[in-house]
Amino acid sequence: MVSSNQVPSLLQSVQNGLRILRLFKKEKNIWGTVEIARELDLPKSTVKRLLDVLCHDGFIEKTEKKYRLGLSLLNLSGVIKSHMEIKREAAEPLQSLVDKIGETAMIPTLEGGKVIYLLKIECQQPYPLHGDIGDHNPATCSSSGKVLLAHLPNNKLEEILQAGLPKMGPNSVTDPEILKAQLQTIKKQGFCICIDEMHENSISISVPIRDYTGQVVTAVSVIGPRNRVNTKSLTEIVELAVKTAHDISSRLGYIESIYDEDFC
Amino acid sequence: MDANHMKSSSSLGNALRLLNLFNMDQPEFTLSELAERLGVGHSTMHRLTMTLMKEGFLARDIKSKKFRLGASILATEKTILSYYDICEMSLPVLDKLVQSTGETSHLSIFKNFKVVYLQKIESPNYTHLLSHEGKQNPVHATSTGQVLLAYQDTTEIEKVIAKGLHSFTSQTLTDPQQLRNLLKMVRCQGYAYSKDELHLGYSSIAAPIISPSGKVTYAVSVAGPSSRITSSRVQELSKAVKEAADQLAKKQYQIRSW
Repeated sequence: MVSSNQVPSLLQSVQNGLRILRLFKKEKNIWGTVEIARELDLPKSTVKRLLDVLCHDGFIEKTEKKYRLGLSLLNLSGVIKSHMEIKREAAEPLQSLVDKIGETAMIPTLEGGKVIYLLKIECQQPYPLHGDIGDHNPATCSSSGKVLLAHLPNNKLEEILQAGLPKMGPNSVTDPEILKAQLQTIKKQGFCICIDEMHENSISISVPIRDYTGQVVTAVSVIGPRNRVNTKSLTEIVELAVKTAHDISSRLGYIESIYDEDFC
Repeated sequence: MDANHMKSSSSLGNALRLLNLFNMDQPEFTLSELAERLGVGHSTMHRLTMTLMKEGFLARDIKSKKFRLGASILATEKTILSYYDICEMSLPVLDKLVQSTGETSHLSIFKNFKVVYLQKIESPNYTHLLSHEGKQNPVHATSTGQVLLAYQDTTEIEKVIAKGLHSFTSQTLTDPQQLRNLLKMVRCQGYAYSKDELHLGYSSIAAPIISPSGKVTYAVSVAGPSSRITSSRVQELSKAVKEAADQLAKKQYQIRSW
């Protein structure tokens, strides 16, 4: 039974019905009654009964002798998409990250070659230099910008690089070839760290966030003064930022296992 | 079915009805609102929402305490679209249609006497449209529905009429004979133009994706504010929509142009 760690107040038929819906994946999008019963360790008669209810409300459709997901779910997913806001989904995990690490965190987006911040959560002792919501910073000099650039299609990236790479902090990368090599690495390792690229004595760490399509849509960016973030706390910040980015991604409907092969 | 079975099936039924309450106009509900809409007590609703949240089908806003649909549902979209090969093929065609017309384009399917939007590509011109993927609309009050219905057998058309032609605006066609005549005309001209019939201020133009045997399951449409989709643009827009639909028919049914 799927009930081993069940909280007593949960409704079992509801839980089992929803678990049936969750079995249907792109890679295996059609299921038979016996297969479902085996997979969820439920009696066949129970599965049959749940499928009847799911079919009645359009969540499942019968196709010859097997079953597939119904269009009711496509409707609900459309309702979510028409109201989904990255800012709202990110607010709570980002706050808890800031509470843990004591540095400021932000949610960036690209506007052409500039990074703007949709959401910013300040730490107790904010460092005065960093961008405010609505500020435009060159994408090539910040970890948030670089993480987003790393996942752009090549033609879009070229367009941005052609506009030139400005020098902001002492470590700004101004050679497009060096930047492109860095972007490859960032894409592979799944995060980006920039030291003194936007300003002197600044360090920023960014991790990409994906949505239900599997595409990178934004990032978690942590920013602080270099003299406050030592090597030990840097490792910890990266780990926590990765965890936060995963949390926000899953709130946006991203499921790692589905997209692993396609995108990673 | 014994009493226990009846009870548990109706719990799942309640859960599904609860999910179906959410829509574009009302994407959030309080616990009391949900309990009232489903006619169940607060404690039952509490257990129902807990279970739905545990499986990711509902989420609750910490501040407002309101419920909204959970992200698990988004993951089903890819699975569902994988049943319809035409969806992926349609993207470049719909994209081109948006570029050439400047309006939002859709791919739709005729399903259970309703229009269901499978794909939507938004116009770059700001439009507050009332559609989204998966949205179901009545066939008689949309250009897409009219075009899909026009190519069905008379028996199907009569079934739709028998279900009743609900009036949504002053422009909705509610007279069976008028609808039959309209469908004949639509079939003749190969597209439908619907103005203000479902929502005042919104218009659309649709064309059928016709199989080699003459069967129609899918349609392509452009939609936008009636101030932009005007009668003076019908010729231009219907031509673009028909071309897109024909292109998709070729792709879907592998008709070679030579």
